[in-house]
Amino acid sequence: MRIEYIILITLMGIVTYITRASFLVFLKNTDLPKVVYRSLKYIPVAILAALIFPGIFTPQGKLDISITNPYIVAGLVTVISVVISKNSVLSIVLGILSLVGLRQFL
Amino acid sequence: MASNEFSLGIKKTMPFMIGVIPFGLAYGIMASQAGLSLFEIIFMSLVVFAGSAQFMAVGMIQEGIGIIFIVISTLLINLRHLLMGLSLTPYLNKLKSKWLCLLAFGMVDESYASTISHYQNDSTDQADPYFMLGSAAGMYISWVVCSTVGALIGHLIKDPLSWGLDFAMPATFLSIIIPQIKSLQIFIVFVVSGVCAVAGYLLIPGKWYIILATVIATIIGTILETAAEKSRAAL
Repeated sequence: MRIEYIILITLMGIVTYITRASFLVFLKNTDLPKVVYRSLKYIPVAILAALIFPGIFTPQGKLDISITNPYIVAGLVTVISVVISKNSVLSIVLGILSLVGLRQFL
Repeated sequence: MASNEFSLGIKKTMPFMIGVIPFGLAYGIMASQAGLSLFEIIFMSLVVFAGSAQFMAVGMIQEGIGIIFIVISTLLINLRHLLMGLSLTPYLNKLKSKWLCLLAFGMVDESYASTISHYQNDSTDQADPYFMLGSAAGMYISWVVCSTVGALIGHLIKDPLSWGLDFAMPATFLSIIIPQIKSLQIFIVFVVSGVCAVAGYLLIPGKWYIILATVIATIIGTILETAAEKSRAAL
């Protein structure tokens, strides 16, 4: 147990609670500008994309957009599997297995 | 009456409680691979109780990203809760603030989904808060238990790379994000954010690229949707 992680987790808990409570508890029946609703919808997709892309396309800290980058191939396997099967668990497993398999060959 | 609605809330949320099991396990395994202790992993599930934010935090801890960036990203990724809270207020606005403060803690994506659909189908004017309480309690127990089991499994795995576990995080994110890409705007936001993040990661020192990419892509998505609506209105 490290103090910096306890602080981090506590702060995460506080900001998460603020997002959940602020409108539910304090803003009863108040209308917000349409642009706010609009932008909120895009944030989760944007933030997850910002986390995924560098890990896949810059595996060793350098840009690698070739077919020999196993993360790109494993990522494609995951995406195609999600689109076809709509089963997230299966797709995660297939993605991981394809990476393990590709490492054997590349 | 109260206990009936409470157990109905649990019952109606059961599919979500089962659905979250693999994600709870995955979170526990990944968090232990990122070097978090058993206590820290369980503490995060108990205190934060937000799957995508916890996954994100674990990924960022593994990358050595500082506390301030993780907290800001947590805030950003959880901003969607504002809308969920707002949409529940018509059903719950006669409740005391104490009740609302309690319910707010348990408002995760899944308990929100099952609660709002139950309240919408209910013909009564004011909804029963015990339903949401049951739904949230069910999710909470399922999430904490599965994280704990995942953490125990994760600490047993000694060589994560040979198991491909370095890909578990991106694969999980992809499986969450891909089904959400339902319009051209969302797809563009996804690509723009990803490309900006890669460019920022390579060019900008520090970890600002995550927040920078998120803000740029969100603004572009909002502008595109506004423009699309305007051109529809002009026709």
